[in-house]
Amino acid sequence: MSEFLTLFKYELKMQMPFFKRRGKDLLSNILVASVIAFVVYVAVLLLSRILANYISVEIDKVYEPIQRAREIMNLFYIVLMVLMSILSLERARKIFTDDKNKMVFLRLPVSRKNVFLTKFFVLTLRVYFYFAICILTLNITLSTIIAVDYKFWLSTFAVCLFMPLACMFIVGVFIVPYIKIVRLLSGRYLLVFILFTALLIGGFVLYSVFLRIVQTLLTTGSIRFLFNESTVSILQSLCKYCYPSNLFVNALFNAGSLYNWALIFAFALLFVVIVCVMSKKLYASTFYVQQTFNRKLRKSENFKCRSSLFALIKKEVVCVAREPKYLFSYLSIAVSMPIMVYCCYTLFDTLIYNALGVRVDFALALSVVALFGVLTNTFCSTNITREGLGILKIKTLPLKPSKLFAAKIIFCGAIGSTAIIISCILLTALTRLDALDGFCCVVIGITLTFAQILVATRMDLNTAKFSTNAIEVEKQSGKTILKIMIIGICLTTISAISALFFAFFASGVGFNASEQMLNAISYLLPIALGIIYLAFAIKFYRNKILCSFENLTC
Amino acid sequence: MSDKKNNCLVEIKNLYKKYSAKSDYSIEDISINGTYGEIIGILGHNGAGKSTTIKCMTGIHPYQQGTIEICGFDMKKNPIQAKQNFGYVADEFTLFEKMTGQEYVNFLADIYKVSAEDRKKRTEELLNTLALGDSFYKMISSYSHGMKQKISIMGAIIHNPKVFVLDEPMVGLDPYSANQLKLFIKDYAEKGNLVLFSSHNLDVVEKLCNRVYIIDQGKILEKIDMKRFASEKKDFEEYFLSITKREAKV
Repeated sequence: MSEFLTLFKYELKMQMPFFKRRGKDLLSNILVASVIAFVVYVAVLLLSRILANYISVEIDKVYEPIQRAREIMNLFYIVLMVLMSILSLERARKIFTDDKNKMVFLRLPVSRKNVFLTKFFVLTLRVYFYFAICILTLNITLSTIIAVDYKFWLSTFAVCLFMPLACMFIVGVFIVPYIKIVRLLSGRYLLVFILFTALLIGGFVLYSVFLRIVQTLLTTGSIRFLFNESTVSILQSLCKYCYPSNLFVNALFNAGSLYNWALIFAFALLFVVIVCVMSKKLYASTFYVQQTFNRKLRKSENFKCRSSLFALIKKEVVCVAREPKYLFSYLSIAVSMPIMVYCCYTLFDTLIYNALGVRVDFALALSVVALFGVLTNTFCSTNITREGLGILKIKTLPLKPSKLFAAKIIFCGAIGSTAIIISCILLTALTRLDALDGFCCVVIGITLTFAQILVATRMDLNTAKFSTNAIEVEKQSGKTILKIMIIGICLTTISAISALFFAFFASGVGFNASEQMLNAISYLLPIALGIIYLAFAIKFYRNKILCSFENLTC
Repeated sequence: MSDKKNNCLVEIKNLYKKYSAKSDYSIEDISINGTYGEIIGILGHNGAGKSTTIKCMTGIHPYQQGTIEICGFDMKKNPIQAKQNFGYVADEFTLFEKMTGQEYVNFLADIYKVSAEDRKKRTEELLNTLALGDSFYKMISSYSHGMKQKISIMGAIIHNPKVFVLDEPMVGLDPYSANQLKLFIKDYAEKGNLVLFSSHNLDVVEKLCNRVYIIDQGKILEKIDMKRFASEKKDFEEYFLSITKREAKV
C-alpha cells in the first residue's frame, strides 16, 4: 500500500502540477492567483449575461426559464463531454506511452500494476476535477438566474460523480485503437505533416468564418437578437438527441428522475465494467510493448560528396521534419500562413473600411503579412537549443561556427521568405492589393523575417541550455520565444501604424500636403524601419558570436 | 607545422582550464603526447579531470593556458585543420537522433569532405567490422546503447583520422560489445593511428594501453609505460590506488 501511495503522490504532482508545493516567491504567487481570479470573474460575468439573455427568450410568448436552462445545460454538458473525452484521450496516450519516467519506474523494484493503476487513478481524478469545476461554474451561475431547490444541488453532486464516468468510458473504449493509430502514424512524417497542416488550415478557416459571422452580426446590429425564437427552437430540437447529457439534465430538474437515475446507474455500472476490461488491454499494450519507432527508412546508395553547408541545411530539414512538435510549430504554420493571411486581410479590410471610411490596402497587407511572419519565425528562438547534446558533436567538427549559423539562417529564411512571397502573391491575385504594394510587402516582410531570425538565433545562443534539465530548457526557450514575439509584434505594429497613418492622411483627411508625398512616406517609412531593424539585428548577431559559441557547453 | 616534424600526433602542453573566473582550475598543468600506433589511456577517478582534458582537446571547452596540437595544428590557431585530423566519441551520446545511421554517417562524411569513393569503401568496411546490419538504415532514436556507441564510432572515423579520441568508451556496454570495441581500438592503432581514451576501468586500460596518464584532482600524477610496468610485475590496481592515495579495501 505504501508503494501505491508513493507512486500516487508522484503521479499527482506530475499530472496535476497545482498539487506541487508552491515556491516562496509571494509576489508571483499573488500575481498568478489574481490573474486566475480575474479570468474566472470575467468568464462568469460573460456566462451569466449570455445565460440571462437566453433564458429571457419567449417561445409563443411563453416564458419558460427552466426549459431554457435545460437546453443550455444540455448543450453545455455535451460540449464538455466531447471536449474532455478528446483531451483525456490524448492525455491518457501521453501518460501511458510517452512518459519517460515510466521506463525509470519499470527498472525499479515496483509493481508494474501499481505504476499503471496510479497513472490511471490520477487521470480519473483529473477528469473528475475538471468536470466538477465546469459543472459547478455553470450550475452556480444558473442558480443566480433561476430558482433552484436543495434537490438541484444534490443532483449536481450526483452529476459530478457520474458524468466523468461517461468520459472515462469513451477514453477506455478508444484509447487502445487511438494509441495504435498514433504508433502507425509515427515515422510517416509526410502524412503527419499533411494532417497537421490540414487541421490547422481547417481550424483557422472555421475560426475566420465564425469571426465573419460575428462581424456581420455586429455591423447589422443583429447580435442583440441572436437568441431569437427560431434559434432557440433549433437548439431545443437538437437537445433531444444529446445523449447522455439530457439524462443528466432531466435528473437535475426532477422530471422522471427515478427512471433517469436508474438509467444513469445502469450506464455507470456498464461504464465501470467496460473501463476495467479496456484498462487491462491498455495495460498489456502499453506496459509490455516496446514503443520505439523502428521502421527502416529509405536506403540510399548515394555516396555523393556534398558541401558542408548543404549537409548542415539537410540536417536542419531532417531534424525539424521528423519531430512532430517542430513540424507543427514551424512547417505547418509556415505552409498555412498564406491562407491565414488571406482570411485575416479580407476580414479586417471590411472592418477598417467601416470604421475609418478609407481603404488602407498596403498598411493592412503589411501588418497582416509581417505579423504572421513574426509569429512563424518565433520558432527560430530554438535554433541553438534544438541541437540538444548534438551541439557537443558540432563543436568537435572541422566547421566554422559561422557556417553552422548560416545553415540555420538559410533554412529558416527560406521557409519564412517563401511563406511571405506566397502570401503576398495570394493577396495581390485575390484582393485589391496592387503589384507595387505586394512587392513592398514582400521586401519589408523578408527584411523583418531575416532580422527576426538573426535576433532569435543570437538570443538563443546567449541563453541556450541543453538537455541536462529538460524543464529548465523549456522554460528558457519559452522566455526567448516570448521576447522575440514581443519585439516582432512591436515592430510590426510600428511599421503598420506608420504606413496606416500616412496612407490615411494621403487619402485627403486632415492634411494639405501633397498626396503623393504622403503616399510615398507610407511606403518608405516601413521600409526604412525594416532596414534599421535588420542593421541592428546584424550588429546584435555578430557581437562576440564566436566567443559565445566557444563558451557553449551542456 | 607538419605532424612528421616532431613525430607527435597529439601534443598537449601545460594545459589549464577553469569553468568560471571565480572557480579553481579544474585541470592544471596537463601535458600529454602521443604518436603513431600508440594507445594512450587517461585514467582517474570520477571527477578527476579526464573528460575536461578530452573536451578541451576536442574543442568543446575553451581553455585558459597551454597549447594543444593535433597533427601539428594548434587547436586555437588552426582549429579547423586540427579538428579535421581527429575523430571523437563522447561520453554521452551526442547523436542526432532523428537521423538514420546512414544519414548521420553521410552528414559527417560531408563535413569531413570524404570523397564518394572513400566514403563508399569506408562505410562498407565499417559496417562489416562493427556489425551494424540493417539498423544502419533505421532512426538512431530506436538504437540500443551498444548500437549508439557503434554508430558514434563509425561517424567518428569515417574520414579515417590519424587520431581517435574516446571518452569513457566502455560505459554501459555489455561484455561482448566491450570486447568488440577493445579489438577495434587495437586494430585501429595497429594501422598506425593514435588512439587516446579516458577510463576509470583499470582492467581495460591495463590490457589495451601502451602508455597511461593517471590524473587526480586535475593534475597528472604519473605517466606509466605499460610495457615497463608489466615487466616490474606490480599489481596495477594497488599501484593506482596508492598513487591516488585511496586505500584498497578487500
